[in-house]
Amino acid sequence: MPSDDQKRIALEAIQPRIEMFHSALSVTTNQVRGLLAGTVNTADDQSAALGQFARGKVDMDRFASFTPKPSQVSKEAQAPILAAQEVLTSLLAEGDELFVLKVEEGKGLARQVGIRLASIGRAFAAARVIDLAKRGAYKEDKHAATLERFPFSKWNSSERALAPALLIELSGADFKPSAIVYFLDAKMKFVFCLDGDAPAAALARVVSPAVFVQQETGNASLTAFAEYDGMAVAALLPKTAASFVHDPAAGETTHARFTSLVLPKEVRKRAIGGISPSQQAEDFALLESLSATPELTGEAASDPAGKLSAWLLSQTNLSA
Amino acid sequence: MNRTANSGATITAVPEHTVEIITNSGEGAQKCAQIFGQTCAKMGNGVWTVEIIPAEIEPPAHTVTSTSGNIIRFGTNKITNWGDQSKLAIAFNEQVCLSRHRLDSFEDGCIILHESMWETHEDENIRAAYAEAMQEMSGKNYRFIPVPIEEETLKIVDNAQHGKNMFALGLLTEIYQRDLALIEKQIAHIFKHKSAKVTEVNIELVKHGIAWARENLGFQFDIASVPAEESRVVMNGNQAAALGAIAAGMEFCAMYPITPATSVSHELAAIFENYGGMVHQAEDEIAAAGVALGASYGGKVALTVTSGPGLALKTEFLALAIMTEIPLVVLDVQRGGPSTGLPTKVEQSDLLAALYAQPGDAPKVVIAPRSIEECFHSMVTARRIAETFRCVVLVLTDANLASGVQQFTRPEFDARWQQNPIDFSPLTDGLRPYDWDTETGLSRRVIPGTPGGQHTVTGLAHDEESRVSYDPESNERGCKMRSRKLAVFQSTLMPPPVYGDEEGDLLVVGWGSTQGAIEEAVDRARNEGKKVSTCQLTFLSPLEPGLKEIFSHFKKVMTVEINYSDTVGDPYITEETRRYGQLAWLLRAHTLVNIDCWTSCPGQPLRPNDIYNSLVAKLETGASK
Repeated sequence: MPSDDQKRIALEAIQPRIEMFHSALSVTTNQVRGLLAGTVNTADDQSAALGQFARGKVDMDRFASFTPKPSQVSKEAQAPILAAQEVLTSLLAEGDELFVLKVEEGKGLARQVGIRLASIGRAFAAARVIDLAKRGAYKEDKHAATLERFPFSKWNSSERALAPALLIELSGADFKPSAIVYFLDAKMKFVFCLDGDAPAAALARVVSPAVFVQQETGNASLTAFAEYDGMAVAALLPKTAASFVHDPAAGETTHARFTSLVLPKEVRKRAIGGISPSQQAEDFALLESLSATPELTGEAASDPAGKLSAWLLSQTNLSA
Repeated sequence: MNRTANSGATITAVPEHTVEIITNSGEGAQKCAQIFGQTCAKMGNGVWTVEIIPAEIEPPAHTVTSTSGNIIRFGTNKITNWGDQSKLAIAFNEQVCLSRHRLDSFEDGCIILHESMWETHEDENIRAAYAEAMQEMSGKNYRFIPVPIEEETLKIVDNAQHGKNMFALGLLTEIYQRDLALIEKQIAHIFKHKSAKVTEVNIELVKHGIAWARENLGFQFDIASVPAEESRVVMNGNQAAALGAIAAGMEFCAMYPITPATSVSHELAAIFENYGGMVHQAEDEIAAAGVALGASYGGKVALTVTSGPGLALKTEFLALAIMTEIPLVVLDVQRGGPSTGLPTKVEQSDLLAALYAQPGDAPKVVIAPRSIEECFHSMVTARRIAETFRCVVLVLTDANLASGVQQFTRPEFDARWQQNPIDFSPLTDGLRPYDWDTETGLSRRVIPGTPGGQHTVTGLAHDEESRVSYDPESNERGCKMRSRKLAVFQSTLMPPPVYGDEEGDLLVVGWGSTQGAIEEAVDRARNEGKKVSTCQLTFLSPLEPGLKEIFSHFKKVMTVEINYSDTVGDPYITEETRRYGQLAWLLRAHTLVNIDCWTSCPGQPLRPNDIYNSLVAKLETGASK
């Protein structure tokens, strides 16, 4: 298992996203409660809605007679709305654990992440069901199942922007982070906490222009990852691994986006989790190549036009 | 009754005390007072605090204009206002003390713990200023106690500027036997974003102040507390309004910073997003009103926050809200005016502007919370009125409520406060965007996205279809319907309660934050057998019903307000030329009763004793000034 300290650091790093998601759930739950209360629409409800300030000052019953009657939730709509409300409540009840995924060995990282996101996605499905039910467009055969499972592939861009971050705990040998590339969109965030030895720079394979990638060793802070407003991946590895930060906000060019890079002195001589020494060496080479400031060689070094074209290439991110 | 403490100090039991902590701006008086006030409240005392804020941001130090501080009135029972004069003060220099003396802030016999170093300061000018100030104050029977505040603070920290306030807090802790554990908790809370060392040093300073007081002061006061049975919260009016807005289900606040309203947006900005809301700081007051209006038009529950000068700038957008019947809540935290006036000081002078600033007929609802607790709850009601009657609701608080701190029963959240009234169901055939009910003027609110509800919104005169229409009948009808809604709303209001007997010699009428001070003054008069009652209005537009009937049971009616009015007898001022206080104008116009007024605009809250004197004068001579 990852150390308690590492898990705490990782959990802290995703806390802002969790809080945002929880807030959205709470607000929606309250709105549903209000919606269902509106269907009752008793004098008590109307009085309560007017608040304590009005007590003794406003004739509540009379005021209620002028209050626009909220959209009546039809009898047919009430059942799906209640079902959606249950989903929201149950997701809220799971607390932070909903966002911690312990990957079982041999069951596939991508598959298990997909299953967990489909569970979290039920919150989005619930919001959709409520809206459909209110508008009379809810179809039991078509929409009921989404409350059981609402996979990432069906999330729209707003939902992907609101999605919470996921803390993924797994064995270092299973650390093949490129498996989650499919889920990197909008503001999706993942942080890996590893147990045991792991490929030293496997996260290099996730680097792409708009993805914040931070790999740290030991109990280093993940503040930058937490504060980044966009899709991001982070991992906490044993001290023998590489550490680096690829921050899309740091520059236009690939090398400028690497704000730090520390590689181990040598590549392990043995395979880890099926990743061969040469594959690990390739990860190192990839990081070095991406983070290197383009240097002029040969003719270009002495030729002013060559210098200019090399500089232009570096600025347009087309340099080799 | 006096007792003796273990330290040998004499303990005097008193029902309440008013304490001032006065310093140069930037010496931490607010923090000291904040912790002291919160501690008193948590111990079960009634509390009311008032900030003393200099008009300038960085006034010259050690002058009468640099006075910054806080007044804390606390007692065994509920405290509803800042009271009369202070019984104890801690002054970091003689000039800030002098400024308060000139405002008659200290009672005769007031204990003044003042910094001792100025008397013997190496700078001759400072020594001279000190002597001059003490001479000026010598006419009053104050009990000056020199305290080496800076010298003692420097025993703990290197920079006394960052510590004297906590030493002073220690003095108060000992004098009033406050719970040190609660104080430590408050300090830890206030410095939670700083290192643990900062908290430790501040606590050490408090303990040093306690030890010094124990060693050197031979007196203590015992103010019994009654721990509340129900759960309570302690906050100022701006915090209460911000939390009330969230509780009311508001989703959007657009504002532009303006004293003394800004802290509402600070409170909201800190937590609003957690509840699905957002604060938008616009480029100016006008834009803030426009953005809030746009959000409301789009179906959001929107709020804009401002103070007098900002309200003036928002005038036209509020007119648009009225014309288009888009619900909008406007919180106006009043300060002294006109123009930029007294940014940090209290006044109740926006009432007529709130009612009548818009050219054309622009009916709107105006309500005035009377306490910090009502600052919270009024936001819930304001939202519901705005939505029900598709109107603008102006909530008038003031600087007194905004920065005063009081405890009140923890509001019990009710999800129905947030009930969304927006009806997205398609408009049935023939239903129009301004399909006014000819009896009530009410019509269904149609927001963008409502099937069948497409229409053009316009500030021009329009008909039921929202089509621009200049024909006489349409305009007449629109004016009538918008005005009718106010009458309908008034029909839901109940007559205001009278505090005291329902008939007598004098009825004092107030509005908003003056309630506590007026009731205290009236209590004093009634205890002397005077037939005085009071009535505090919360609905200013439409006015609560039955006022004329209530007034008819009293021989005289007089408003008490924190705004300007002329005094008959002053040059050129006669009964004919006299301008009245704003509520008096309003009530005279509405009831045709000969209502007098006593008003004052010193930039500070009214004192119960001043109100008492005014009502005695009114009773005895008929004059209100």
